[in-house]
Amino acid sequence: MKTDDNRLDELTRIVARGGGAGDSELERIASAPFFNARVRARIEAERKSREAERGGWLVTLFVAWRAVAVLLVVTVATAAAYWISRTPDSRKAEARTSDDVSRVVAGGTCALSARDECAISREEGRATLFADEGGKTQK
Amino acid sequence: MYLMEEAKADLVMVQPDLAATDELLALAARDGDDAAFEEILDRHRRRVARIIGRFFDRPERIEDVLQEVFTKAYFGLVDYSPDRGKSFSAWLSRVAINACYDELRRTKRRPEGSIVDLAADEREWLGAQLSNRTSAGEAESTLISRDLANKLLARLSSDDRIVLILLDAEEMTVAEIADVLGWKISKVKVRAHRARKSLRLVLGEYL
Repeated sequence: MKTDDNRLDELTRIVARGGGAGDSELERIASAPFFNARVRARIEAERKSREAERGGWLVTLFVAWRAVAVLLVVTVATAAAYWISRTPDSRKAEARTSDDVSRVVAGGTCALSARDECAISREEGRATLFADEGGKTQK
Repeated sequence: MYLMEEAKADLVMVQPDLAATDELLALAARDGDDAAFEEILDRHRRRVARIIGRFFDRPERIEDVLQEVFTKAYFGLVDYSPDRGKSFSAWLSRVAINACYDELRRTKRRPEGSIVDLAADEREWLGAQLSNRTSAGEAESTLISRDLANKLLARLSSDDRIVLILLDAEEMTVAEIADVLGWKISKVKVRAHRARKSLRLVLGEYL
């Protein structure tokens, strides 16, 4: 069993060393007459591809910057138009409306409130009472 | 550094000759000296082809990867510096091994554990090797073993395959492999163990 193991280990190494291409084939490939020219052509192709890629990125970046700038201008213009459209009259009208609203709300609150300022005065109470009695007497 | 710059300036003025070191040629090529890059190509293409030839058997593929290695080296020269302590030759080998690894990863591997596509003479050779018999002449035996080895290696994953070849064929240490591939040493060890186990599994069927 030990021998088998050793033999397998040895054969594994033979397989690892034995793979690939033969020396004569490699020599033929490495000494191909136009090898340098092919490498040069490949370098040129790669250079063009990289430049195109870089150019593509620059175009994207440029478009993105322009889009951001246009959005910024549109936002500022909209805000400015809104402020300009608000004339002094419209501001007064707005203030009045808000005062009316607060008054309505205050009145409504008084109707349900037990606060001092909302209480009925003594004279108002008497007047109401006598008015009721007078009515009964007349009848 | 100053001496290096001075030597580089001299190199740019004269045509690269045999006395120019790889490192100086690399620096000149990095600065756009085409003649220096041609000299690098002439000096290293055989050695790089031998590295690639460890991993692939089809000539057109080897040639393609060989061109790829020198293209990558050309554009990678901007990152190369002899001051970092690595020789240009070692740096180029690293580029070549990583290009082979990338190419292996692109290749679809064959299913593991199947040996049905082995030819009769390959089975005979394998059986003879395992039982220590010799069945054919030395040259024929080498040819059979290469074809068979490629078939067996094709069953390994790209990670297992590259580690096994660098360990057993290129005789690199685990630390060197880890450095070249940018892996942890533990990963290299695990991959080497797995690769051997996978191969032993297939070979064991003949025992």
